[in-house]
Amino acid sequence: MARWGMVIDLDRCTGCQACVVACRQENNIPEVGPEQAAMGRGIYWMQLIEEKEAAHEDAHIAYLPRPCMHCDNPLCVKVCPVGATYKNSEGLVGQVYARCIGCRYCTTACPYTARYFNWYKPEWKPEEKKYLSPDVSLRPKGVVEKCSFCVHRIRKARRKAKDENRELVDGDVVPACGETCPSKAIFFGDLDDPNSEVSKLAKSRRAFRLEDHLGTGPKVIYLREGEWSE
Amino acid sequence: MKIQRRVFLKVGLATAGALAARSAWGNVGPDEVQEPQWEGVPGEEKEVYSVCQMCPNGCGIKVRVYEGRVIKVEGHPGHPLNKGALCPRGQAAPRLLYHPDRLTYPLVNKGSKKQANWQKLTYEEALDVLAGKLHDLTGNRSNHHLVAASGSFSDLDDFILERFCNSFGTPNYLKFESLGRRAMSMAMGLTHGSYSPPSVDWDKCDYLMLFGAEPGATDNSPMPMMNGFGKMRQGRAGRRTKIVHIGTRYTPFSSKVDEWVKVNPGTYGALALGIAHVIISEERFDTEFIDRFSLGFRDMTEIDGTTKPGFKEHVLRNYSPEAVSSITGVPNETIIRLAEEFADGKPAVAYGGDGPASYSNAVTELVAIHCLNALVGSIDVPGGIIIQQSPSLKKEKSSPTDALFAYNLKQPRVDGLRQSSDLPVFSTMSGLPSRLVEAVPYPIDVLMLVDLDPVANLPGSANWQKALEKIPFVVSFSNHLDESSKLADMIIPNGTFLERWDGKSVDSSTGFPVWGLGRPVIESPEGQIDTSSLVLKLANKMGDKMGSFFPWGSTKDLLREMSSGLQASAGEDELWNELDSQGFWSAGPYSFGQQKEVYKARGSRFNFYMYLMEAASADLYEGGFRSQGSTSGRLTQSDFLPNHISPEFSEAGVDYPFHLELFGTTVSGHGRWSLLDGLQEILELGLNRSWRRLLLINDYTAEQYDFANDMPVWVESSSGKILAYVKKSKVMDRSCVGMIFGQGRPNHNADPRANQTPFSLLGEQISPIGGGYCWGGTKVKVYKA
Repeated sequence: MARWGMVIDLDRCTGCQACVVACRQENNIPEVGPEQAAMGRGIYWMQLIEEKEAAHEDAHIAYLPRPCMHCDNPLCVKVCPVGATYKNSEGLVGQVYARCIGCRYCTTACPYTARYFNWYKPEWKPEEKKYLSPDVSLRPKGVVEKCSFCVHRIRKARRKAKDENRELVDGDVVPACGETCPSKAIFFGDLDDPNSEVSKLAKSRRAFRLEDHLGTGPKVIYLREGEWSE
Repeated sequence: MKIQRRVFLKVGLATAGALAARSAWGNVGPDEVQEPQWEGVPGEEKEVYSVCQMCPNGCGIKVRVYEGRVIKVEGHPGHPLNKGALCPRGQAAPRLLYHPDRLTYPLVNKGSKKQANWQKLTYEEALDVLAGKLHDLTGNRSNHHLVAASGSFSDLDDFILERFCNSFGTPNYLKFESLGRRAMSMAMGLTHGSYSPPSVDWDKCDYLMLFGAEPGATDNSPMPMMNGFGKMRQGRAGRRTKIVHIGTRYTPFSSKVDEWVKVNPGTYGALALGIAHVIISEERFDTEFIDRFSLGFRDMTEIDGTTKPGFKEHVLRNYSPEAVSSITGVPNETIIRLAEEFADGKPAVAYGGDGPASYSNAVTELVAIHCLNALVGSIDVPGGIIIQQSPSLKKEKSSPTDALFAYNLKQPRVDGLRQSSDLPVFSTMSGLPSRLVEAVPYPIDVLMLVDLDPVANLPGSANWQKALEKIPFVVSFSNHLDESSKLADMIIPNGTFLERWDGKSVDSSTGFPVWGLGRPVIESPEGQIDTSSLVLKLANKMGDKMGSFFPWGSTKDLLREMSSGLQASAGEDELWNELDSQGFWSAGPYSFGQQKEVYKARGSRFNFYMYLMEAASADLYEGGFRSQGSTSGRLTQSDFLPNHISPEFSEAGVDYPFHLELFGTTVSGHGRWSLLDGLQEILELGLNRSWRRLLLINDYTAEQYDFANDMPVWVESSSGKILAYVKKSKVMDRSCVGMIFGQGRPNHNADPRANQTPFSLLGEQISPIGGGYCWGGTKVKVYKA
């Protein structure tokens, strides 16, 4: 059984946002429009979040791409009163839209602000409906959604491997953000497989996890900027 | 339970998402519902290779088509330019294809320009109207009164439109390149003799100095640059390229580099010359390269006995680090250190981007920057600057269809361009729109706009608006009712790049020639026809003689003919089949050391002394190019060496206190795709705002003016004013305010007064060499709305 994880090399990332746009296209994420966006209700499964340090003029802006961390010990699951969010045997944190009652405990509990609430029914004009992907369900009003680690791509890769009578191998599963990344900063694979690229990279001296001290056990591992060290 | 679900899925779960989700609720335990709760019945699916045209570079794409609908675009895994990846603009392509505001049929304006009354036409009728207008021009013997202005990224449109203008007898085929690219090409032309933007062997570069350039934020090879950035950082065992970012404004990208150096606006070239001074005086330059491959480094005596000043003495005399420090604001010791690092860090590359390209002194500044590469021998070596080769396509020249047309073709161009001994020189520094308004040198009767919205996306938009109102017949080939099409007399919707045949040469970054084949991934939803096919039809409507220059039955036939020039050895069919299945043709890898290909200027060498400029000096003077040294302004020999010329600003003084920094990001580009909601909703990095047109202003300055965040303000220049919202920023210089191209979609602003883009703030000044727009020299004032 795989334990899916992601490695994001911040030394490679240029902040171009290709992952953000690719994710929106892949996962049928609706635009909320200017008014709602101004209220902070935009939905970004993958988002570049930033931290501004220092108050002097040459302020250092640190930024990183932030998908859902698919924590080993997810706080969102703990607080969900209806079992709409859960962790499966492959370590993916899932969301059952039909169970979600929109209480938003999970959006509050998630230390990574990775969860988004649908304040309104997403509006797609008839023409726009044509580019919707058949792989990902549309969300109704009043439910919470977040990054799924492109679970449909994992399933598709598994089906393909099965058709070819073989096991899944490292590199079979590539999420939308990783596929498009111009500087190849995003890696995806099985953290339990010692030979996978992600588990090798995760052992790097540059590796760190976001808010790890909270005990969430995030499965997204960042590699900080710095000298070549492997 | 799993089996039950599978069976259920097979029975047909195609339509109702909510219904299926409810079944998941009832039937399965937590471990199974990881799967999406709704999945359509697998439909017919295919992947098609084509070429991206969201910017001028031509990345290969793999388009996922599901049940006849384009649902996703990925990078073509085998394409040498983008290597399987794709930028955010490319990712947004399906949103362009299925844009709700797409026009579905041609429209003709039966009312006036102020009070439009649009009537529906068929394509045949629309082309008949246009052909009629063109016949009228021929009747009046004024064929040169036709202007075709194209902003299309398609090479095929370029070929066909130029051919059409040529055979019709008008010199006025005007190609509008992305901002900055013209100046970049000119700098390469002056020193190398080949006019294409600089390319870099990014992967192997060990020291990179970016002058006002960011990976992705320019329209010159964003993908290879970003890909190279990743490789330079962590792609090679034990080696990590040092990257220095030189700019006027600390950007999010500045936080990623090893060193950020702040320079005064428009002084990038001065800094480069200061660095050159140190490299020369400390004798750290590459003597072997300079002796073998360059011309004009030392003072020289020509065969006819005349002497010419050399780059070395010129720089040592005029650009000491102290002098440069006072111009650029970069500390003396930083200049020395950068120079030493650069000379020791071989292969080291100095690369000029949108920053230097935006000012009136763009070309000479970019030349000065590129001279650093020659000093350290970083040209045509692994990890250095390489020169792009173009594929040898079969393109036969057309000639004017009769003697009268030939006469018309010899008329001066409306934009003032002339070829002055191989150098494109403009006889004017004011741009095209005011010449159109003032009917200089002659009035224009028919204007064809192709994928070009000058009112929204080009400098001097106020005059463009007047020009479009004045010109008797304007036809716009456009997908949308854009700001310029609103002032047209006829609009012909021309489809997107995902619905047409196209051929695209990669014009920078791979080095070796690459030709991509664009193909209709799907049929146009409403039968829209692409520009190339329309012009083919139009030409055949114009009569047999004109038609004889366009003998191809379709654009596909034409592409097939073009491709036959690519490879002599392989059979034509074989070649086409490969193109058809792969989506591109390439002749890699790049081979170094082809002196004839790399240096096409005087002596087949790198020209420190710009002979091309010297030959064109009379025309340059006429175009407004003045000497730095002599009092008369006549150009002297030292003007043909790389110089720092002070940039011109639109208005100086207290009235307009701020310098306007107008810049692009990878998401916004140069503003063309601001109509895509999917891109508008992306939060700009470091700003945390979407949809809104922001005015970046220094914290301290904002306090002085009593501005709060999100407060609406007017930004006014001598050319116009627009509404923007304040965003305080620590990273802006106190003398500058910043705006992002394309941010804030015009018709989505709550305030209709704001339906103008930042381009309306810009004057229409162009560079006399090459005619690139100078969008960086604008001064503005800001006040509360």
